[in-house]
Amino acid sequence: MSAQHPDDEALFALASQGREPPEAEPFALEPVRSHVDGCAACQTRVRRMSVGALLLDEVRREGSGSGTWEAPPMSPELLAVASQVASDVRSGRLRRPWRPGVLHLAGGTLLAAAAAWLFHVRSAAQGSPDPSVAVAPPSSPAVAPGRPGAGSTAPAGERGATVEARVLLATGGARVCGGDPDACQRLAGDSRVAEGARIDAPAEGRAVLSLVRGWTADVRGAALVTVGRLRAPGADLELSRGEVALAPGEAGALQVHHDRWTVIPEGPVVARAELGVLRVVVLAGRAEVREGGASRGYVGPLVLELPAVGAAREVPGPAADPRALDLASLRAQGVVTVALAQGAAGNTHGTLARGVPVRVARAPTEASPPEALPAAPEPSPTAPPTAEPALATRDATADEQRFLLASARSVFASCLRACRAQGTCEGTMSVRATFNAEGTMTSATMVGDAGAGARACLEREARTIRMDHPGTPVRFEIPVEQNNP
Amino acid sequence: MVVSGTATTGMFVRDEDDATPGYVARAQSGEPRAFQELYLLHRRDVLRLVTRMLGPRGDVDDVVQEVFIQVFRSILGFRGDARFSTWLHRVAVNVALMHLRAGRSRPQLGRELPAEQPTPEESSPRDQAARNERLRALYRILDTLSEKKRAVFVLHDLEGVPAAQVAKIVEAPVLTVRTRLFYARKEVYAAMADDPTLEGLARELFRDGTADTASEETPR
Repeated sequence: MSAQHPDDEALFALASQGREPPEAEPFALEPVRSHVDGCAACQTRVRRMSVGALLLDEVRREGSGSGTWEAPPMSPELLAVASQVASDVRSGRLRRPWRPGVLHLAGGTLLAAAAAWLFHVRSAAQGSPDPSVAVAPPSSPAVAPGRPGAGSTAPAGERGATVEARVLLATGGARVCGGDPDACQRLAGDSRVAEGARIDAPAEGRAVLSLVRGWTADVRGAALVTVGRLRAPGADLELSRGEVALAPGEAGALQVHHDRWTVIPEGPVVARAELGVLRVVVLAGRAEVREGGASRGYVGPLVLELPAVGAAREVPGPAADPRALDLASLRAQGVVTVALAQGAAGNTHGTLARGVPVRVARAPTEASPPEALPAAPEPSPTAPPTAEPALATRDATADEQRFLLASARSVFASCLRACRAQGTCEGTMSVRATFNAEGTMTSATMVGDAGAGARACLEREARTIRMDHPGTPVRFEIPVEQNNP
Repeated sequence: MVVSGTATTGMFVRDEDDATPGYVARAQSGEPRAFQELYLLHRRDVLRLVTRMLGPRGDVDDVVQEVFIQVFRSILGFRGDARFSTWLHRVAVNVALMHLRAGRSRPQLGRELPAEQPTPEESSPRDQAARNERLRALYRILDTLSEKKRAVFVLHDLEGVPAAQVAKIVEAPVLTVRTRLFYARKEVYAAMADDPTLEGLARELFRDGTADTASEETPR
């Protein structure tokens, strides 16, 4: 008998022979069996697990047989709901929040295709870096502008000028999709997206968009966001899944929809949709929450849960989400531009776009460089204050810490997955990092309980993090978030 | 109902039947009968999933009804991007989790017995009582999982839904689903090994002959 007990997965594999869960890891059972034969403690664990495996198997097998599963008739309450919904649909009181089918869109599709072609010609003439994503794909928008019934401050079909959102940053395979999920294109920095586009950011990707009236959206965390309305007066975002962080612009100009909920922020918020709950971190300022005909205002900092079923509720939680707003840093280093479409108000998106610069600052470090825009630089109101030049190393400011935490979260993800699988990343870990005045990391030292492989991976990946010219050497011990999915 | 089954490690995963898309389209056009057909076609799947999510309790029928109320009210929001069954599973999981949350915020006197339970045919009251006891033991363990892990564990390991489809249901990347499943299994197996009451059930199971030869071969 070896001194070290087999782990529970191996013991369960032994206990559940013939009843393994689907896609279970294969185990070499002989060494496990020989250990268990001489280990009383392991025999007890296996005995209990074998009962557990039987119970799981019993639950699995039920339901596939005939049994007593016949459906009873619909209850009166359910019949009433079905009848009411059917009646509302027929009377037009209930409408689809999306455009049903290509035939209804034939005209719009033709217009969009023509616009895309025109834009392509113009972009080619201007030497646009990536014209393919400058307009929504011609397969039509998936969500109609001005989502009906969402309590929009701007009525459906509002006749404001169509605008395009500017992509400030696109990393990790973030894509833009049209109505056809197979017709997605990779987003690039400085490209543009139009009304109806769907932004798909994988778990480790992100897309930062400059929307309208100063609003910036950071789409990330396996997010799918549809730009439902993108007009000069305001924009609607439909968050299907994942996370979007919003840095504020003009109050009331942006609405975020998920399921039956609409959130109209006035300050910075982070919204995350998962498992039927929209979790909204209101970092500061007021946010209005609408559902059906009801509306209620909340003032941050606070955390709200807006469930698929039931009422909104405030929940205890860290309203100062450390990952929430590194947008300030991004805005400070990016170009925030609204490209107003030419032509009449309410024109189909995708008409020839002319960039109207609102604010120009340094080029983003992670995205492809933006085109030169003929406007005078204007400092971002949210940019971190410029530090006095100094040789001494200082601690990272709160803004810098937020930026570093957010960067580290995506950078460390692959290492964490690997070391979780190997069971070598338990306990508290952090990376002690120092950056020079230009923002390049000069040292990264792992602190904590990680195994050698995880340590090397975390130190290596940490070195890819770059700060935005802090002006003086900076140090910060970056915690490794164990709950990083 | 046309149900084609795909056997996966002894379980049964239902493919979308041929009739459902038509009924969905008719329901979206406001035809009342189509709602009833959708209910009759899918109620069994929803009942099974909700039962597996919640375990033995008396309000499973209420939860199933709540699922269909949500489905009917949001039927116009179903775009057909995914299969109807995926969307339905998502609603069912969400409603079940809401009920679990609500249950946690209320004082509980212990698990209620289910009003309607899918049971093997010809089971005696004694068998049913023993079976409820076993289910209670299992769901005491599942109750220790977080919501996200529980949803993934039930869908994958009990319902037999492949990880890629679970990802669509819970709206998370496949990698995240696999991570949650890994930790859920780890926690469940550890909880089983630490639960002495399972040994009492072992005696009952082996005396009843519920356990087949495979389990009797496990080491003592």
